[in-house]
Amino acid sequence: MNWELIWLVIFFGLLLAFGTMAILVIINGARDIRKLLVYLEESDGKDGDQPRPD
Amino acid sequence: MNEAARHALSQTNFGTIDAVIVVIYLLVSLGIGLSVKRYAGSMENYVGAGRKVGTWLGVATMTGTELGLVTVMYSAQKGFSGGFAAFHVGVIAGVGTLFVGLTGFIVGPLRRMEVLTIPEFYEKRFGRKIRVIGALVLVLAGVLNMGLFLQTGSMFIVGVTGMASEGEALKWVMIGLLSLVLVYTTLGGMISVILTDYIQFVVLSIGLLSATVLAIWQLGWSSIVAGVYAQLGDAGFDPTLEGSGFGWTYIFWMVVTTGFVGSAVWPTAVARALAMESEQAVRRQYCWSSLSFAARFIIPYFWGICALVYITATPAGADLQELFLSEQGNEPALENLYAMPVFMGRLLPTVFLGIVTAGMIAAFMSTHDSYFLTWSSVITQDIVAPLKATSFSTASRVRLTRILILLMGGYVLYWSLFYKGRQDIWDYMAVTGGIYFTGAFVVLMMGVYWKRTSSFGALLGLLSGLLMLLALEPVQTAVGLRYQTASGEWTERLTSPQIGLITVAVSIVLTVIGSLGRPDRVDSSRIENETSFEDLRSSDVSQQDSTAGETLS
Repeated sequence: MNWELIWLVIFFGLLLAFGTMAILVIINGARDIRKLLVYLEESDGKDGDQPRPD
Repeated sequence: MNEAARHALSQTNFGTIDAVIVVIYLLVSLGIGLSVKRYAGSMENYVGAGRKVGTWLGVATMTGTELGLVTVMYSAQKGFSGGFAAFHVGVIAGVGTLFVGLTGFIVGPLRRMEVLTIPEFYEKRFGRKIRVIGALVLVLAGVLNMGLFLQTGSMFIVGVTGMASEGEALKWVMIGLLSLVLVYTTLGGMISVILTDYIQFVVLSIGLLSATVLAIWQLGWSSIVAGVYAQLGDAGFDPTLEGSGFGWTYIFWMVVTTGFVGSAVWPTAVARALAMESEQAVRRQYCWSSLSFAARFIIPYFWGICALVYITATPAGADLQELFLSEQGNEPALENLYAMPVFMGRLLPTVFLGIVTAGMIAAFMSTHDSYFLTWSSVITQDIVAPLKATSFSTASRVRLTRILILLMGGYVLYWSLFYKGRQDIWDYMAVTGGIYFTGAFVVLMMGVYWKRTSSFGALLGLLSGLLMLLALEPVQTAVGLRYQTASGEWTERLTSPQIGLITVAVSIVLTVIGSLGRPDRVDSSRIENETSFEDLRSSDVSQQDSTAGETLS
């Protein structure tokens, strides 16, 4: 088995895939943050200090 | 530290511009973390960010959490000593995480049950007693596991900046970084953690990729391969060779630990999954994160390999050979943990070095904040709350969680300053983590997929994880599993991977025997559990949005 070739393909394939994913996460993650903050803004103040059953 | 070591460690390209980049990054992180403090009023927001985290943000926070600086350091150490053969661990991690994403293995049912922590699942499935016992084992193992994170991470900072040559630097770096993390984690909770994780992901991914490309550019791929062959031979490429330091037992152990446990059972990863907006988002998050789970091992392994080649095969690194490589059986002057950061400090040009250092500090912070939050919320939600006779208000829970985070910070600092263990970082982490995950892996898997698993079987399965203590070096020596031969060499009758696999097997056997021998009685609560069991196995994942502000258990 040619381990050197296997690791070469895996390593450069991973670098390419991880780089692509990083770009997608950076762009779409910012949109998710906006959505999360809108949700938190809307729910802010609704949660009181209520006792919780456990 | 002798004068030669002091001089070698002070050689770095890290300059004022790099320091400015790092400080700006830290201030931005802190500012964002504090700006969301006002949203952390409810426990669901504080611990689970309101369960409204989208897929892409989930990938960022999962990556930020699991790609810690301690992972980078011990992986680089493994690459330094094992060469390309170490890559198999990253491949197993990526494939295992992809499998979890495609099938929803364990995390799908957990998200469907809308629990926030793994012990909460224990209660829904096995009752309150198992929840508390499971949480105690989890916290014991988890807190011990993170004991060396601070010291190891700080070793990178002092190594790459040249501060390692100054005796007291490590201590002050540890105190400074810890203080920063404690401030924003305590005040902002999961919302703060997730937002800072996003920033950290941006810096971290740029740092990882740019440093890797620069290392290849400077050393050359063919020289790197030739350097590994010269130092390690075939064992530097083939992980199935016993002489490579890996072998088949090690590979099987990695399938369990990094393949499944790391993604589907380890609480900090699962906590991310349970904060997602839906089960479909969880699965997408895992599929994409499989790349991060592979990268978090393979890229640092490669850095360790480059450090080895730089030290052994280039004139620029010649002065480091006597510091990092032992001669005639003598101990090297410096721990090989320092090899990668020292290499980075010399290889990367200024500005790039600042970005990479900021990225690594990002990795450090994003792991610490998540671990602090996860373990403290498990104590609050799964130990204190179930044991409390009176009602436990949201404000009290958040307050207790914050106090626990501070106490854990104190413990981590104490452990980093005073712990003098001899085993290497990976062994320490595998053993302490294994105390929890060997039992929990079996109990979670069987609790979800085998209807007849009883609370007694779960108890035996969880407690059998304590067998992992036998993998600790002092315990091995005390019970005769590790002994000195006539020639003075230390030999192990059972290696840590072998003990780990045996522990998993024992846990499965005991869980089955306990469940069949002492099944749960069918009472009203059990009927409720049976309903829950059918619910959690249901394949319908279309209606997963949880309502805001719902009670936790």
